[in-house]
Amino acid sequence: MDRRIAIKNILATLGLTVSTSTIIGFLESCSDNKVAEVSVFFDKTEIYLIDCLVDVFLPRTSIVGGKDLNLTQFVDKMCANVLTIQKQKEIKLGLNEFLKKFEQKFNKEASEVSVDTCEILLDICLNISKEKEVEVFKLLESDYSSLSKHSKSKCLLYRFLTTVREFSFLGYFTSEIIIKTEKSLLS
Amino acid sequence: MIVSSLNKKYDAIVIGTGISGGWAAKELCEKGLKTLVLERGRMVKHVEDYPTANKDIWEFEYRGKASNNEIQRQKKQNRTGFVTSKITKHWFVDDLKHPYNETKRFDWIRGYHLGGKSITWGRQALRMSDLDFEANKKEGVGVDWPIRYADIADWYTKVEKFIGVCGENLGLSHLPDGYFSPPMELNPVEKYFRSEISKHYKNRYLTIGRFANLTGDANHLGRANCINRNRCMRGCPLGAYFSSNSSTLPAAERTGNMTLRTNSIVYEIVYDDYSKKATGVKIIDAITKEKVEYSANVIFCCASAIATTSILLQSKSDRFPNGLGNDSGELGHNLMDHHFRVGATGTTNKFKDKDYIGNRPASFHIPRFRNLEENNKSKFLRGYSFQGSASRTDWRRAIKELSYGGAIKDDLLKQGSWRVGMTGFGECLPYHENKMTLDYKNTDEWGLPTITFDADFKENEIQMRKDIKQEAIKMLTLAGFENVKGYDDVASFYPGHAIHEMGTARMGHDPKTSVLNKYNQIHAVPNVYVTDGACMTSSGNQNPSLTYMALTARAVDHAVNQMKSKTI
Repeated sequence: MDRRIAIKNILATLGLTVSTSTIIGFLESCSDNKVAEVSVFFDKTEIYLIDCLVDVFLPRTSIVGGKDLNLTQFVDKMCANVLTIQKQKEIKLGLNEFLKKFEQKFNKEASEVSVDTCEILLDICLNISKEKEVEVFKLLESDYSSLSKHSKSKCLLYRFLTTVREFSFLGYFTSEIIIKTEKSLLS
Repeated sequence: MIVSSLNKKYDAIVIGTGISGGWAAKELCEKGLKTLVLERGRMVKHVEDYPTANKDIWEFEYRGKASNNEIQRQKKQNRTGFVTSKITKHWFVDDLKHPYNETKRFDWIRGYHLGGKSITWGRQALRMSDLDFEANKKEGVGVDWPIRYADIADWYTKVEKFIGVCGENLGLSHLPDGYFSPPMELNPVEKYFRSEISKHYKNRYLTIGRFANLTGDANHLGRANCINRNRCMRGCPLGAYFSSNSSTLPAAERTGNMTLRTNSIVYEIVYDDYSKKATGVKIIDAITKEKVEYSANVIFCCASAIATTSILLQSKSDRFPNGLGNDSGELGHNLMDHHFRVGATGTTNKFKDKDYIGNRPASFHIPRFRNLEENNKSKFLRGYSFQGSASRTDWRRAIKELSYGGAIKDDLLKQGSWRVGMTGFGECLPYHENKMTLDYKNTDEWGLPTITFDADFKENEIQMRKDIKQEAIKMLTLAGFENVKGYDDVASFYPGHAIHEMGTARMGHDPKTSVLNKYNQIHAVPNVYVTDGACMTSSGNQNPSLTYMALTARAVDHAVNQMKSKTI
């Protein structure tokens, strides 16, 4: 289904209205090239990876997805302006850890990353037991300098994934469309 | 340095326009005194100057989060973890422009603008009791308060009537009843918790907090009832909560007796040894840096505990070489704040048929239950209360997870299970060694000395925190909540963090051990009154603003009577 129609349909079923120009604005700014052009923190290869991750984290269902709301650009902007310099360094290093995993797993160049390959990698990294999930967050809160080489790599990888995930969720659930959707579901 | 002296003499000068300053201005003006009100910060017009009051979250850049560059200018303000958000950052100072020094960490959170912290205060309006006023004397801690509850009870009522406080009377002697409009409603889970607490404990009660938000039928000029936006900290266009800007300053203005001067940094109170009185104040214009002197018969210091004490310490003369009224050497000492952010959380799978609707701007309150009797069995002196709330979780329940995908996304649009959380609010004892001093080597943009803090919480507060956490866990567990987890946010365990700094010019009976008498007058300079947090002899566990307001109204009454009888 055309994305413009999809968004309109969804909003209509929820009794919400958003102007066509607003939707066109969304869709125009969602085009991959446009995102790469305006990105300020991630380079062209990196922003494409972020775009794929946003799509896997928050795919379109009967309700709009992360890409529909232009979250790739939002994540880029948040990383550029809200994160401390130290965190920014960690994100870049963590992104490289993710790409290393990608290259090892698929024997492909970083520029060939796709939504499908991201899905497979995220399944390995994030679909873990509750116990392991708790360990991950403990690791993220630990003193980085005291970690072993292996743990440092793991920490960076998860710093990157959890940050992109959190900014995606923040952008999505605090957006005008979603907050109004939420209220509509409640009523 | 040239100080231009203006000939105009006022009846009274009020330094500061926050919670206390607003009240001093209102009371002095309504009693007919020509009053000059001085504010060091910028003008804030009620309604007009609340730039974020009506913005939705998606309208804020970075969804309200402060940018890294902005945080560099508000590093110390940012220790609170919430004030530097784009939603409220304009109410808090630029730390680079307004530096201070820390021998020990002290989180000095400030708002330099008309209305001060009355715009951003927590709005909890709790009375202190004789349990608090008698504690120092009974325990041999600090000095005795020179007042008892009976001295201030009527003033509490007067303040509550004017500002509008909603809440529930419980008939407890240690948390006296007040003049309240109808309470806000507890939600179903809070009502359940309330009944469970009453079932398990004889001396513990859960009530809705007593908040300075309007409910009921009372008429408050220019203000409307609270409509539960819970955006109070942004400034309320309805004037639904009390602030100086919405309430006391307009009342003062209506009399025609107030002259308001913003951008006026008071740096000295002028003392005349011949008359043994203060004759006026010296200010620096924050913008032009021009220095001006104003004269008045009586001066009210309401600049906030630290700022008032700083002004007094800077006001040196032959008679007072260590600061105005500092015969005792206590000026700047006995610095206190409450300690908090320790408690417990829990969840319940019950009540799933009950939605969480609205944004009630009030928490529940569990009044102090420790050390109420003289046969003290605790490992610590004094006590604490709890503040908390229950609500259904939103999408943020997934932040500390690794979940993702369409099903998760759609599920997070629905309300999650109910979660309850509460934090203790603990009393801090007055320790002489907890102090602030002036640093004349490191001056600010206006050439004024900066402040150095040397204070920390001690063993009594540490022992109290252990008990707070333990009791919070116990109460939630007994009430049948699941996933009960205690917490103690040690990163918050620094004075200043609760933004209730107080005690640096304490009241007392004896001029040798205190700065102020029972009417908040400086012992040796009777026409100077200090009625902000600096005057506090002990901290209690209650949010202190209501007490500052009541003491201010009482002190103005005293001052005016003294002026009439020509005593001052």
